[in-house]
Amino acid sequence: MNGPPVPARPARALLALLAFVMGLGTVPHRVCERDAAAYYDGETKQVDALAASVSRWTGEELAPSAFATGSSRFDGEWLFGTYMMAAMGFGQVALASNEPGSASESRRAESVARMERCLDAMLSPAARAFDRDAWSLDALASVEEPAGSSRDRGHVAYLGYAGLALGLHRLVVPSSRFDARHDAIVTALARRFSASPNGLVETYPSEVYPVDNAAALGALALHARAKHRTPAPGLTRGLEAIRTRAIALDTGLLAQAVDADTAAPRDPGRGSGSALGAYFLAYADQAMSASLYRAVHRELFRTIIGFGVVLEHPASCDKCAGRADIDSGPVVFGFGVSATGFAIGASRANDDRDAFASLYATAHLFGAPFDEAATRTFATGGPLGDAILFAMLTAPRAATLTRPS
Amino acid sequence: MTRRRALVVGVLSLLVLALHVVLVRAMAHGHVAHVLLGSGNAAPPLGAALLAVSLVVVRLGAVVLAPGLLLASLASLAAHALFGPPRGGGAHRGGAAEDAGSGTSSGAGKSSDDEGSGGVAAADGTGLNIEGRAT
Repeated sequence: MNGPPVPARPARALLALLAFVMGLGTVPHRVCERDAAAYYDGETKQVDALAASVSRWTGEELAPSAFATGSSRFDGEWLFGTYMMAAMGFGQVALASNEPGSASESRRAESVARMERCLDAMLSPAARAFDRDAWSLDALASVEEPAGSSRDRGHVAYLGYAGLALGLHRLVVPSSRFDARHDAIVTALARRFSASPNGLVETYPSEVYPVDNAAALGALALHARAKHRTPAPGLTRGLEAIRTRAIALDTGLLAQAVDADTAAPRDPGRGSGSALGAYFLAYADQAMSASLYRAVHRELFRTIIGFGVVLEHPASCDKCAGRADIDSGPVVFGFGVSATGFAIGASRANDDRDAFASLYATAHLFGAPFDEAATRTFATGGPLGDAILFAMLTAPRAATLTRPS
Repeated sequence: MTRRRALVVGVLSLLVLALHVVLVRAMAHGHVAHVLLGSGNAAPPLGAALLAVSLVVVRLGAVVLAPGLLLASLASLAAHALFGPPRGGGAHRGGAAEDAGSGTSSGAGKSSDDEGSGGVAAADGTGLNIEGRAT
């Protein structure tokens, strides 16, 4: 009888190559997304480990000098952003800890305490400095300006993001020492949306960024929901302005910037702004958040050997290719770090388990999570990276946020 | 892939995996991301920069490439165990001897001798047997 035929050297090389390709295509992304289901389902152990790490960062004294981007404005934005995103994460954990029982109540109380520490830091003069320097007027002082005065305008980044975090806190703690400040911020924002000629509010003098407006609209909606009131007319006006002026008709993506006078888009829409906008709008308008998320998924989302990534610019924009700025973070082969990270939150808010898992796999690969003593920190993330991932990984479902209370 | 090369690839992959664990721990404990961020537009501290670059390279190797390389080396080792050393190709010293060995050890020649069919050169013993009966 014959023995089995002996494969020749090229056949063995082919076998090894096939095994390599099979390993490349099936193992790495599965290894990296193994925690994704736990985050998607909000499993306590996994989420609390990240929360503990973010609590450690935000418990330390961070200063603008900790974020030396080369621009004092961006350093300040990052300081403010770290506390704001951490506050969102803690607030979202508190919101999700709604089951009866002492464990859930204790978790909620701990999250609220951590959130309040972040809110205090977010409202501190150091965290307001970037906005004050740009406007030559403090954002919190501006809300006290008489309605219709020349100084009753703008500040939408600081007030919008702060108002959103304060609104989430109020949803969890209906009455607190933050209420008066929260009411003042939201009243000023609503007034400015209503008074704006194009329905959008400036971030800095003559600079309008729709994603910052999306955060402010989330703040208006959360305030109304927390106080069981009808939303202010400014919410409808702002949402309509985003829909008609800032969202590209062909791609459905959110423009990163629009002209301050005409509100004409200055770009064809970008991944970082659209994904973050979809996350913020989950608090204000479920349909618009879903529509924006679908656009991100359709136009920008890709998978590479199972890893989910998001392009910063639509493929149709030749002149945009490879462009990076402070919003996009590093752009590698067209894929944006910020766009990919923010899309994690947008996918969770819009109930897309598969995209969430593949995007998380990418965050896991490049974030290099490190677990120790019941904490998880992303080794390449630092305070801002950990805080953003914490907020995105715990983003609540839009359907549960915008339903009538 | 030869057996020796497959073993080297396998061992290297395991070493990369171990190095990766060490680097992640070092980077997390050293708050390297914070140090790099804090350096802004100035050149980052050399140690922190080297650690970060090493981590990215080793992590890509450990997480993305190592599983495929381990599978490839396992496949090569399995082929070696099942079929013996590869034949053909000529680049491998001793390959010709291995080829001759497998040819002479096949059962075809033996069976044709045992049957006494007189067939000599053919490798297919079964065919020779049938011919013998017919004649």
